[in-house]
Formats: sequence, C-alpha cells, structure tokens
Amino acid sequence: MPLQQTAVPAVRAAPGAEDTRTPLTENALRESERHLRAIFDGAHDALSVLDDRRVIVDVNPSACRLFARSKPDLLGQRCDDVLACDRDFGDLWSEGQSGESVEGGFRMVSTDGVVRDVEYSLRPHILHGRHLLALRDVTERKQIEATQRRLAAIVESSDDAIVSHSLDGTVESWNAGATHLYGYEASEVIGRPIALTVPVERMAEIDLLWARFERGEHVQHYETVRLRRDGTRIPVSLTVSAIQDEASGIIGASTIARDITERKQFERAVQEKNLDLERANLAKDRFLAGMSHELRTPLNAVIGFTGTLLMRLPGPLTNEQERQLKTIQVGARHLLSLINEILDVAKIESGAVDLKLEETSCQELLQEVSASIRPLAEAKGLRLDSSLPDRPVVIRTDRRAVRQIVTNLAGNAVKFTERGSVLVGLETTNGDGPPRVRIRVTDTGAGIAEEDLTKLFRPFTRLHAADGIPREGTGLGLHLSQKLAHLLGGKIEVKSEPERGSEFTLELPQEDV
Amino acid sequence: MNARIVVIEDNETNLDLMSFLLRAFGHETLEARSGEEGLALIAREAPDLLLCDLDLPGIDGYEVIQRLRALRGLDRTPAIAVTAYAMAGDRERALRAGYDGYIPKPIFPETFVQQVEGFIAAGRRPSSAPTNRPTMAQRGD
Repeated sequence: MPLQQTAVPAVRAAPGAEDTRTPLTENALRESERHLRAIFDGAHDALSVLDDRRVIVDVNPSACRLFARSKPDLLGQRCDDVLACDRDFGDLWSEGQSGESVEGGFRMVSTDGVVRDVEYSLRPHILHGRHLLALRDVTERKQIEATQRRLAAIVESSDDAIVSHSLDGTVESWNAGATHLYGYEASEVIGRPIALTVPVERMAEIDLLWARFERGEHVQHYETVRLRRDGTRIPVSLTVSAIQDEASGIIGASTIARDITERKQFERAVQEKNLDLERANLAKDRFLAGMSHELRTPLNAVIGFTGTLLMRLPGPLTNEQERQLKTIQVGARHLLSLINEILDVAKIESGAVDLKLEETSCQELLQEVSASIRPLAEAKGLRLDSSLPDRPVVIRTDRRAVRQIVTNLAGNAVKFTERGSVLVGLETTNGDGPPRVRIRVTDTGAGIAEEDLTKLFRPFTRLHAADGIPREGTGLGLHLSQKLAHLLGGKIEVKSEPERGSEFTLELPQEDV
Repeated sequence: MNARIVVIEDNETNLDLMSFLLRAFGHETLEARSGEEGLALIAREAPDLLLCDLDLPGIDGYEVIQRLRALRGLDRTPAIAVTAYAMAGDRERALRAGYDGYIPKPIFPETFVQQVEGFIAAGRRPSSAPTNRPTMAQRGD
C-alpha cells in the first residue's frame, strides 16, 4: 500500500527565497506558520526536510523516534550518514531529482539497533532547495500481514472445508477444501447464506448448534450430513469455533467440516463383517447341534441293543456271542467319547462355549472326581490318595469345565499306571502376581519320554506308553483339557520321568477369568 | 413296582428299545409317535410317567410338556425328556420347559430303567406349580 499523501509541512522559507503567497498581515502569517508547525510535529510519519546536499535541516518528533536520535543530533547531518538501510540513498535521491515523488519501501536499522520495515516517500523541491523525506514504520503491519499469509496458507492447504460466516449466516471466507467438499468456488458463495450447504432435513440442526454454541459449549466432531452443489449428501464431522471481536464479542463462526465418507463406509463394512461373522457363528452352532443330534440317534440303537443283549434280556448268550457283543459295546462307547470330545473342541474353537462362573470349592470338586475315579483305580489294584489343605479353597470358575479337566487327568493317571498310586493334590500360590490354585495329579506309572512331552497336547496324539502296553483313548482328552484350561484363564503343565511316573498340574486363577 | 408309562418317540428303533427295556423290567408301555398322539394317550390313560423325545414331527417335546402342564388333573404327571440334544445347556432348557428329568441319548440300558423308576417314586419335582392352576406363564419362564 503506497504511503498516503502527507500534509505538506510549513517550513521556514529559505533565506532569499521568493515569497509568492498572497501578502498577509504579520499576525496571520505567524498564526498560519504555528498551525502548520503543529501539523508537522504532530504527524505520525517521520518527516525530515533535506537541502540539496541531503543535509537534514528539520525533523519532526516521529523522525527522532524512528532514528532513535535527538533533533539537535540529527540537524546538520547528511541523511546518507543517518539512514542505514538496504537501499542506496544516493540512488533514491537521484530518482527524485527528476521532480516526481518517489515512493517505495526498505528495511532500515535505527541507532538503537532495531531493524524496521519502512515505507518512504521522497518529495523533491517542495520549496526551492528543500526536499521532504517521509518515512513510515510498517514493521508491525508487515508482521501481521506475514502471520495472516501463513494462516491463510494453512487454511488454504487444508483438506478440511474451512468456512467462516457472520452472525446472520453469510459466508465470509471459503477455502480450497470447502470448494472441494461442497463444489462451490469461493467467489460463487461468499456473501451468500451458509444454509445452502445444509440439507433440508437438517435445517433445524443449525439453530440447535447455534444454541449450544451461544451457551459457550464447544461444538467438536459433531457428525452430520451436508449438501454438495450437485445435490449429493456427504457425511461430515463439524467443529465450530467463535470468531470474537474485542469490542462486540462474537461476530461470527468458523466451521471446519471433515469429509468422513470413507470412515463411515469403513464403519459400515466392519458392522456388516461383524454381522456376517455372527451369522456364520450361529450357522456353525446350529450345525454342531444338528450333528450332535444326528450322530447320537443311531448310536442310541447300537449302544442300547448291545446293552440289552449283554443283559441277556432277550435270552441266554454263548461265550463267543458275549465276547463279540462286548467288542461292539467298547467300540460304540469309544465312538461316543469321540463324538463328545470332537464337539467340545469344535465348540471351544468356534467360541460357542458359555462359561458359567460360580463360587467353587476345590476340595468338594476334587473329592467328587476322586469318588468317580476310585472304582477304576481299585479295579487295577491302585491306591488313590488325595492331599487337600484344611483351609477351604474357593475359586470363581466354571465348575463343569474344571471337573472335566481333572477327571481327564486323573483318568489318564489311572489308565497309564499299573502299580503304585495316583495322588490328587491341591495348593495355592503365595508368590508374586495374582493368587492362583494348583491342582496336581501325580502317578507312579509308565511316564512319558521327553521328546513326546511337547506332542502331548496336540489332537489325536496317541503316544506309545513307555511300558509298551496299549491303552484306549480318543487322542483328544488332553487337547480338550488344555483348551478348557486356557478358556478358564489357566494352563496345564506336565513333568514326567519314564518308568518313575508323571505329574500333571492344572493352574487356575483364583479370581474371575 | 409296575408302572404305566407313555413313551413319545418318532424313531421306531429308539421307541422299540425303550419299550423293550421297560417291559423287560415289568412296566407297561403305551407308545405314541407324535406329540399330539401322545397327549391324547395321556388324557385317555392317565399314565404314571411320560418319557418324551424332544425332536418330534408336529408339536415338539417342549410344546408337549407345556400342554401337559396345563392339563387339569394330569399336570402332575412326572415327565422325562429323553433326547439326542445333549450339548451344554440342553439339560437346563428341558428342565426349564417343565420336564422333571433329562436323559441324554444314547441311553445306557444297564442304568436306564433304574433312572426312570427313580422319577416314578419321586413324583413331580417339588418346584412345580400348584396342582389345580398351572398356567402357561408359570411354565414359560
């Protein structure tokens, strides 16, 4: 912005200069000179009067401030010596000698070392041999302009639509992001109502938002829908801030709108995916239930009628008939165990197992398991001992699952032990970390070779016992038990020494899973 | 203890198995192959016990027990679900529907009759609704 015309100062006429003015009375003349002097001294701009040799012959207080020197100090100095700037003052002076005013800007350093942005205007020959140099300090204005340019660049480069509008909803600014989002150019929309970006069905929302805004609430990430020029509706997230004026308070608002189409699509996709998964899981559950039902029905006839024959309900049996029927019975019961365990594993893997957590007395549970295993142990001539603490140990867990695991471990112990005993123990941990209980099943059986220990929990692992005696089993029991233990927030660990025996430990958290 | 037992089962083999077993132990069996037929049989014969499959053509075993529990004078008939629905939760579902007992298939003939006789001796479970006014609402919990 060029420097405005400065009031022509009244300077003392140079000696010998011809006075062309209308003669005035002495008094009026003095009055006029005082008047002009006051204007000269009161001017905001720094004014210096130079002679033909660029020597300063007069300065106003603004000039003293700009140069940071006193008036007596400045008078009689050549302007070139006083003015330290990034333009050559000689060049500037020469330009002015053609008689035209010269205007422009430069940076100068005043005596106090401060760098200032300055606009100058050199008006040569305001009087004979007198030239006026007017300087205006625009440092602050330049800084504000630079800040504004920076902010404008940020706003302009944002992907978000940033729009400001006045209190009555008239659009005042519109960035490139807004053009991209709404489809209007800034020139088309500035001065028009912001409501043209709001779909009819959302009009009521403007008043609502405004009311929240006036209550001083921060409107942030408000999810709604806005209207493009082509009529399409875009999901957006709005953040609204007040535009304040020192004098009159809120004078408008700026709205940042972010296009959340992609996020919404993503959310919908995730939702649909979840629904699909739910449906798939439900279908799997139904399939498992159906399979369970369909496999059991024919097995009922096999196990049932084999049983009635062996009970001799229809009539007597020969020894060979009995032997063969027993083979069918064992096979059928094995098949039933397989079906049960495969379904259990499938249910755990599809996440269809609902744990029923309840206060469970470990002692009671272990006594129940021992009671059910005892006949098997005694039939083999084994001792079944238990070592349970006197203090009741109660944990919150799924009783049925724990019973299933311990029954499996104790059953295996009896199965793989030919001589000696099976011991069921219980202890609680007092070390670091959350309290846990350990249920230990120790046997004096065949033991497991070290290389087999890692395979133990895999499905359908049928290890050859170290004593070479083949045993019945589905190959799923330990696999299932470990899965159940994990489900309960615990684990099963094993230690074994061939020919000395094995120790299986079920560790469970005392608190909820 | 000779009891009269209605058996509702649509699978001929399984019906045959249960009937044979029960008769072998001296009980009288009355056979039905659908829920509707079974309920008619109960209404006519007022048996000592009902054994009922859950997966039936027409009304299923859950519906059978609801209707039985609404039959004035017969609502206290002990009833056992004998079913191949043997996944976790199936027992609870059957008991909630109004059955007094639940025996999963396959049945074990060595213990089956003993189990069944236990229910005849015990009669209706103690938590049952009052004799004269059982309602659907009380059953449908």
